[in-house]
Amino acid sequence: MKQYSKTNLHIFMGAGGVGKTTVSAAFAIACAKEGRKVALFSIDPARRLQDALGIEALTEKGIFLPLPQHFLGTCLASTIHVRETIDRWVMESSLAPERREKLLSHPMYTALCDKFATSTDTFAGARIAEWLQSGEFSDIVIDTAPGLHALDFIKKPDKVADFFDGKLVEWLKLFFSPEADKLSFVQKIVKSGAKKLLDGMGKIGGDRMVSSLADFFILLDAVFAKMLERVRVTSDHFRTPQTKFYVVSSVRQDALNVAIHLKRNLTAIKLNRSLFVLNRCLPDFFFNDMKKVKSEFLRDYFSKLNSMQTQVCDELLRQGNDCVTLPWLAQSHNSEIVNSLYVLGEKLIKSSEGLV
Amino acid sequence: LQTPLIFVLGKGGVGKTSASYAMAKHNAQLGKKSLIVQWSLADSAAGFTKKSSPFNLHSQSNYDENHQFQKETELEQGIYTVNYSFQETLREYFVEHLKQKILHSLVVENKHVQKLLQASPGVQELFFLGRIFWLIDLAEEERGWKYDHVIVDSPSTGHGSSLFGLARSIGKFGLTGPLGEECRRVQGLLDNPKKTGYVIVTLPEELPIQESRELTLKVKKEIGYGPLCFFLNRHISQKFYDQYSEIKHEMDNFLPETKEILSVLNKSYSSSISLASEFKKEREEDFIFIPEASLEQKDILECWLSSFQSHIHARVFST
Repeated sequence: MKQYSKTNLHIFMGAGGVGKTTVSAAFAIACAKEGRKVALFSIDPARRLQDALGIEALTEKGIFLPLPQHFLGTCLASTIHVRETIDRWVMESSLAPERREKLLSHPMYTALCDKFATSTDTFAGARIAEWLQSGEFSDIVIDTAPGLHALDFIKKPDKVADFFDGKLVEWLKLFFSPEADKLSFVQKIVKSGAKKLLDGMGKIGGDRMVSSLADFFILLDAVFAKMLERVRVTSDHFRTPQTKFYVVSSVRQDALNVAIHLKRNLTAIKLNRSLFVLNRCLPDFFFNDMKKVKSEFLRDYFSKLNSMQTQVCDELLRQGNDCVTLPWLAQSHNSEIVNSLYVLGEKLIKSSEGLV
Repeated sequence: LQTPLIFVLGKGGVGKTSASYAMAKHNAQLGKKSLIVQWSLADSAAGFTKKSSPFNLHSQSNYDENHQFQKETELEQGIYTVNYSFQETLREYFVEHLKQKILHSLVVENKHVQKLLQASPGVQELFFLGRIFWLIDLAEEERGWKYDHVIVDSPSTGHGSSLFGLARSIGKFGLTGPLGEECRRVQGLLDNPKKTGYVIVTLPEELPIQESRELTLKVKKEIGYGPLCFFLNRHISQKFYDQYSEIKHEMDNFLPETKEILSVLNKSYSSSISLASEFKKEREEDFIFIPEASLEQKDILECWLSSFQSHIHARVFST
């Protein structure tokens, strides 16, 4: 199998409901047609899209999209499965089998998975690294969670590890790890100082909270260190010329505000290879035709929509960024959706060439 | 509104802040006092959309970038808002409620303990619930704050639903002491349908509807009762669609490409309408449609309030 040392990373961002998932799938399919080996990672894939692409359910490891014969490349599609991925990381860790079981059944473990399920950014960051490091893909297309803070982890990849580096955790380990009896002289002194703090915490949540937490952190340490390493790999890759950001908006004021803010967030962390994609635009000839409609109500509606579209376009261009406009996805039956997506994706590839 | 405490749940961007504000406004028109509780922590995307929303709750003076303040602020007659701050809640809880000032400054404010508290799954959420418990059961006695209704503009789905089973699952760690007590009383409040109710806001799109189904199941499993109602926001009204459908008689006037686009739009409108009506059909709960403002030539608040008026007998509004 060919190994790719320089994987292209395409990150799609934007507000909810702007069509990010569709646009990123379209882009991935268009890349696959040209013969590239693509991995598509969607945080929030619609059932409808999965059905249309002929896949029953996206698994944790991903499945290859059934593409037409004349497509030269492949597209592996996957979505976020927090629990399964973390379970797998635990199984792949260096923990002894009985320690793994203990971690998987720890009451805090489920709470931890839930926490990651609500911070998909960090989690996805670690997940993407597995693909980057595999070298199996020429292109990775990421459809991020809607909203502004999809990339917070680039700013502070260490944020996730803050508490693991903290002294408190050291203390907890010191007190509760199996080797606690064999302490050095210095450690014994530290221990007596830390004892007061731990006793204080015991007052808040009971002694069992402290020992339960300590136990948990010790078990999780190896898994977590690996995860942090992965987040850093992705975060570093974001800074290379192989990574491009596509900020998707639709013709709505709220979606536009989110897009502009996202772009500012990217610039603030010095990620400048980004471009706006204005999705579901209507062409001028359409608006001209709508002026002839008999219903005054509809004429009024489409004229407002027209000025809104112009306003949104102008505003995006004012941000000093390139902006690609995309039409509505052509209406098609499930059997032809790959082709409609390909047409949309090809338009995006062509119009963004030389821009970013 | 039916219960003193109402959680407004739903996926990000479906209109939870609009729903919260509209319910408070509805109350105010009936001469009642409401407090809207917001939480932007770890969910700043919501904070941003709120800023740009027509109701602009967050631009009020009680809001600052670091979410440090949680003073109640009167937005207008009968409508108050408060922003949740983890640090401030910790301080009030230990210093004012438990009278444990020393414990607070020596242990809770210790920077290593802070790191642990912020990183430990569920702790911030637990204190958020504790704060709400305090608002419902203790605020009148301790502070003289009295509201007819507390409306919680919940963080988006992930957090929103996990709030309901949180106290019970944290309880499994075998907590004793004040945290253990906190878990028990918070869960007691959530488990009581006389005091607590929730509404689910959704959009006529596939993903938000699917998430609403899952959310309803999950919350019902945790606390044993279903939502007071669903709000289906940005509904494409039959009136708009009927007018739009008339276009088919004028097709001769248009370019072929225009016809193609019209049929794409038609598919999108009609799928919204059928998704909405199918979802309504499968639910036993009250269903309240809020029309898409841009199609109605009304502002968003008017759309909400007039929908409330036409569903005034819905369970959520009865007392």
